Amino acid sequence: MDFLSLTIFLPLVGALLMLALRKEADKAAKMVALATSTLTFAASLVLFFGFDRAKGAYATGLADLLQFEVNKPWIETLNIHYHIGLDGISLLLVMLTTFITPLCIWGSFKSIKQGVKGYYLAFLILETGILGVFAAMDLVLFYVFWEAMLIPMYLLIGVWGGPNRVYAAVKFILYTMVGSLLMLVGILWLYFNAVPGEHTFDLVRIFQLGQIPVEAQAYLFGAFALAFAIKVPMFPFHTWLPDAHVEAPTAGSIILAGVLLKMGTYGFVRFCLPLFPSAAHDYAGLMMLLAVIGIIYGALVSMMQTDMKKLVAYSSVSHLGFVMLGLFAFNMQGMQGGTIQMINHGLSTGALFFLVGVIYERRHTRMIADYGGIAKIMPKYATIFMIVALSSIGLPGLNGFIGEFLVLVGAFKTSPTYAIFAASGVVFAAVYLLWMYQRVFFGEITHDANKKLTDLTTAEKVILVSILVFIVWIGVYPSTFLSISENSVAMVLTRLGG
Amino acid sequence: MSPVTGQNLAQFTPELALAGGLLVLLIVDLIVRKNRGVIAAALGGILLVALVFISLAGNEKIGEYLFGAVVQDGMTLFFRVFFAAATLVSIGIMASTFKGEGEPFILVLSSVIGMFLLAGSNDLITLFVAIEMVSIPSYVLAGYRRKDPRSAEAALKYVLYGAFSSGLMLYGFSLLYGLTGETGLPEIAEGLIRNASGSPAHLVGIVLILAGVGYKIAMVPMHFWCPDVYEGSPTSITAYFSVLPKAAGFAALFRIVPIIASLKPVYGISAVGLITLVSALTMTFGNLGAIWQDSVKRLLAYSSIAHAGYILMGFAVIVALPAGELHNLAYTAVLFYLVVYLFMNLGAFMVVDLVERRLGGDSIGYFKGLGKHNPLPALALAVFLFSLAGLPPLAGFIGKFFLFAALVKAQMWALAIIGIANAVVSLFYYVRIIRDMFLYDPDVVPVEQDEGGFKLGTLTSVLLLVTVVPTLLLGVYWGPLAEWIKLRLM
Repeated sequence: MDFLSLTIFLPLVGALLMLALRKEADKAAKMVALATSTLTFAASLVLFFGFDRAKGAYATGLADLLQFEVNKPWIETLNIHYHIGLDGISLLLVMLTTFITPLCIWGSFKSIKQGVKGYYLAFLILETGILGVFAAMDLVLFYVFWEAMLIPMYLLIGVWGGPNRVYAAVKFILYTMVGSLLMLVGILWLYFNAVPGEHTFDLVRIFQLGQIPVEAQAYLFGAFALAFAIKVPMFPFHTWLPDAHVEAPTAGSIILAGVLLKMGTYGFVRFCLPLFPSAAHDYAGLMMLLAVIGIIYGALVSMMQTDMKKLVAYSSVSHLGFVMLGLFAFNMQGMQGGTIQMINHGLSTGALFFLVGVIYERRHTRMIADYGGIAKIMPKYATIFMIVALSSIGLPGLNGFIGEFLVLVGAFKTSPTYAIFAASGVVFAAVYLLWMYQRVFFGEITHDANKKLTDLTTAEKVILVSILVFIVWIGVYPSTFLSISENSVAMVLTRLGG
Repeated sequence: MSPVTGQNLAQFTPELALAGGLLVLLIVDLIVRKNRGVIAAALGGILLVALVFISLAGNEKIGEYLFGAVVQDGMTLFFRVFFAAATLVSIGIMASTFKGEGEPFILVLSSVIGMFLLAGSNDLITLFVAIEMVSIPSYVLAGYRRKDPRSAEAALKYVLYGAFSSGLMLYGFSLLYGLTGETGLPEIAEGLIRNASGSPAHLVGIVLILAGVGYKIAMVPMHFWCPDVYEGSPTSITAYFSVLPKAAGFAALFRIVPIIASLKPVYGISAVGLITLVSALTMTFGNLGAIWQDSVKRLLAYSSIAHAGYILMGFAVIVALPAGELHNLAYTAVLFYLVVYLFMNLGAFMVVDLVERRLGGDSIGYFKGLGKHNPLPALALAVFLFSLAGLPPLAGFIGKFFLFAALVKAQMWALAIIGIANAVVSLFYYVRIIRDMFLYDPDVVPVEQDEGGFKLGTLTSVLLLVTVVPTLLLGVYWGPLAEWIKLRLM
């Protein structure tokens, strides 16, 4: 049975089912959404356990690495195929997506009161779009999924977001669109010219037979990298991110930070590095510089924030800088670190956004100054917040450490200067997170309204603890996950010639 | 060349059927008193459905007829089917506005005779007569609401600009005739290649013809009439204007491709350069103009100018490479885009018409909160607008995809980049409408409406389906249509 297609399209089926519901059937809509996303997770577990980690050792292209491959003609006129498959990197990201989505949906049950049905409808369509991006092995299919998730995300921010949501939603869609259209030109160029004597959008074939001239690589790298850099977002293309994050509803922020941004970094590993290796080498210096600027800039700006959600949003810029630094280190440690850091960031930052959402729902403010001494009133909340914050900082034993350590080791091999500057980002992260923690949780209770706060509900506990399980798992025994992506990363490195 | 015979006349079955049907309609319109519009629309609809089949049946009779004045080929067939189908949807939209009046339908159908003739015209004279046959009923349609000053103004502008551009085009025709001594389009192209190609007169002739045909498709700088006429005309007629006469202009343009392509650079101006320039100007002007509009009708008018510019991008490739695989790819791209444009643009205008009739206006304020009190029409309009913006997985994306594919293959990078910049700009104003519909609360709340929105009626519901479904479907499964178009070009 084709579990990959099932995983991708199950949420869409759920969304269609939801259309059949009556407009006011809020409860049914919630149940359908939670049930489909949980079933999707179950289907993806089949992929996870069925994945053969040993497959594709010493591979030089995608052909040997892909598992659960499906390849059917879609539009024969242009030689477009419905071609999907997973390698180690995409499997990890698919798992992250299917894991986070049901938690987001469950977490939204109380906070979303208006237009309930539409909200979950958009969320499920979004999930299909994201999963499709990670699994697509045909460039047109990839592009369609890549753009198709724009509309539901636009609606999630624009309809269910905060006070300045409209501005944020429009900014989000325009920024991403600018990047993607140039990528479309790049895709078309590949179609006509990548494989001699053949017109193909098939990524596997382009990996195998593609001969892309060195002079063209620079342009292609640019066209693809811009789309991905905006999505990541790399400094200086990051300005849409804080707006989108701050205005999006909690679950929207989680999916945005946790998964959507990974589409950008995934794009770099999947397209920019292995397809245009010579250009990647030429641009590596610049990309590492931008990554380090992003790490430090993001951290410094986080430090100055008075709004908790904004703080977490800017910390994403910093963390994604680590991912990019690792990827462009062009060695095993750096790239593996970058890959695992994608997952780490999805878990830790997702959890942080969720935690900020929890207190926002109770007090309707996210200002740090409105809190203080919360630890006495919400001890469980405070404990979990501490663990998540420490994981984000990179405390040994938790997931963040593994990712950042590997990235820094990898970067040090290539460029000690950048590694030293990047390491300061870890220090800054400790400063802004712990300082925020101190102001929110310790000290005297200065606001009377805070005295009536209630601690975590059962649902919230289940959601947070299930994320914590993975935070600790990756921190203690990362091999479970590193071994999945190892062969894929090795393939990218082989193609980079190192 | 073959003489006029019975067998030859059989080539004109669609035109003859139309003319006959029109006579019947005129008589019926004189006899009946009530519901004249509904009856005219129904009869016209039946006629058009028959025409689609008659046109499709004409597939085998490829060749030149009437001393070479008319040609029957895949292009003729494509445009006949296109015109019949698009008119069918258009009169459906008009039927809601003109329940008691038969004249608008008769005018539209008589315009369609001109379009059918245009689809097969192979001669300067046929071409000119056909274009005028399309135009003249359109002038009357624009001014159909005589007592509305805006409608009268629209008609006057349309006529004046139309007469001016017809004059320019005729002058261009006379230059080409003077250069070659021929009126048949293929003969002129041959003659031009043989002796006069590269002369200034050749260039001037082509520029003048482009101006004349460019007027029909609202190509910059012959577009000034377009926003005013579209705004002043009754909305359901604007819907028709935005698709049919425009497509007719493109049909004419395709017939003169060999003539344009025969131009060798004069004073450094080449045919491709010329088309590239007007294409870039047309889409840029259309998109920049649309940003500032408050009336959604006017906004869509500018957007339709921009879309003409997109189609001209494909036309630039066609002119650049007069034969071969890429030539066919570009042709497929352009024709495919026209089909997609038909559905999404007619659909968009239909929803605007609906809102205007129910809420009383078409300025963007009337669309605020539409998604809240009328989710279905709002959703449909969102689909059309996202498709016009070219977002996957909608048909508009595939249309642009084909066009950009042709440009990239032809390595016309500058135009491709300009096209992309334009697509981004266009997203801005389309999203603005969607934002107002779904993210804002309504300014104007409909006085009378049923639970869950306007009562749509069977016809409107069917028409919405007929336009929404292809806009969605062609975005994910466009193979058969692309294949069908490709076969017509063989």
